[in-house]
Amino acid sequence: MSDTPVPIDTVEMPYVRTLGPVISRFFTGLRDGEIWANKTRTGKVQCPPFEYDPYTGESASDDWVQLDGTGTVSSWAWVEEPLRNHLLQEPFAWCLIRLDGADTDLVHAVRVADKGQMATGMRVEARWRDERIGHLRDIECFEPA
Amino acid sequence: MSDDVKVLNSVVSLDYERPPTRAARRYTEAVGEKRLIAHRCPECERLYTPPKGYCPVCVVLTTDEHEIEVSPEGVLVSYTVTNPDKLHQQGGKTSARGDVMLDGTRITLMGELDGVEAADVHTGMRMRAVWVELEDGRLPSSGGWGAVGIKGWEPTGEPDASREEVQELLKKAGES
Repeated sequence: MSDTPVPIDTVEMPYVRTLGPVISRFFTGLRDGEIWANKTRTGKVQCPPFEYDPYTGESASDDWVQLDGTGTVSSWAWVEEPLRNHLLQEPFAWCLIRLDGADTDLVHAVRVADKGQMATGMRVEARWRDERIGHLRDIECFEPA
Repeated sequence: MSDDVKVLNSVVSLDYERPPTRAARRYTEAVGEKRLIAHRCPECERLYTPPKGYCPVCVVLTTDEHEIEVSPEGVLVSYTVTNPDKLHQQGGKTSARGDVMLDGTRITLMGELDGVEAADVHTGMRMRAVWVELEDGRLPSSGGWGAVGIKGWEPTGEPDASREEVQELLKKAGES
């Protein structure tokens, strides 16, 4: 009986949450193929934007800047076997990406042909989906620039 | 702007991979033959189906020697009627789920109630298991709900257990 397959049970539930004005603006931008960041009161540019400054607890300002979708990998972790709900169904890297003009990192997937191409400090750019709905997945992944 | 993205729609999804224990394999084989087996704890005599291979109350192992067959019929002791609303429906219709206490045991198994209109469901109904059909000799996923191998429960058509009998069953279950 050692060849008995391991059964997989999947438990799922729909999860809908309201975004609030700040994340709504970010996601609306993504739907329109734009990346928007907001500024804290100390002038730090946050992407993804937050309603607040995590360092001071103060509300973020209402000052927004548009970024162009290129950036630098701050850190990465290789995923050899993607899970079924991962963004990419091939080996990829989860990355912290410092977008040009931002002072914080965005988590996203980076697609490269080979793990050997991955390096901290590498330049990447966003690959947009043709059909966008207002979700972080509107960026299919980042690729070497 | 009115067409701003205001909500995030997603699905929270969890995969459970559980290598079957010997007790689980024996249970699955029995279900394939439309039989229900349980383990009886040698210390407290509580019954468990599907068998766990141990009694969590007494913290003792149970094995094949503690295996007994239990009836796949029983009495509906509790139920709930689900009316899916627009937001949460998954193509769902009004349906009922219930707990059936197996004859001669204090075990209740939850499942979809079949063969009866939701409006007609009541405690005390005599129910029998509706078995899941095997796919290539294997049990399909239960979806994480209810007892593996049992799709639901349908009325046997026998006379109901009385209100007093149901109360007695629930009392016994509460004591166990």
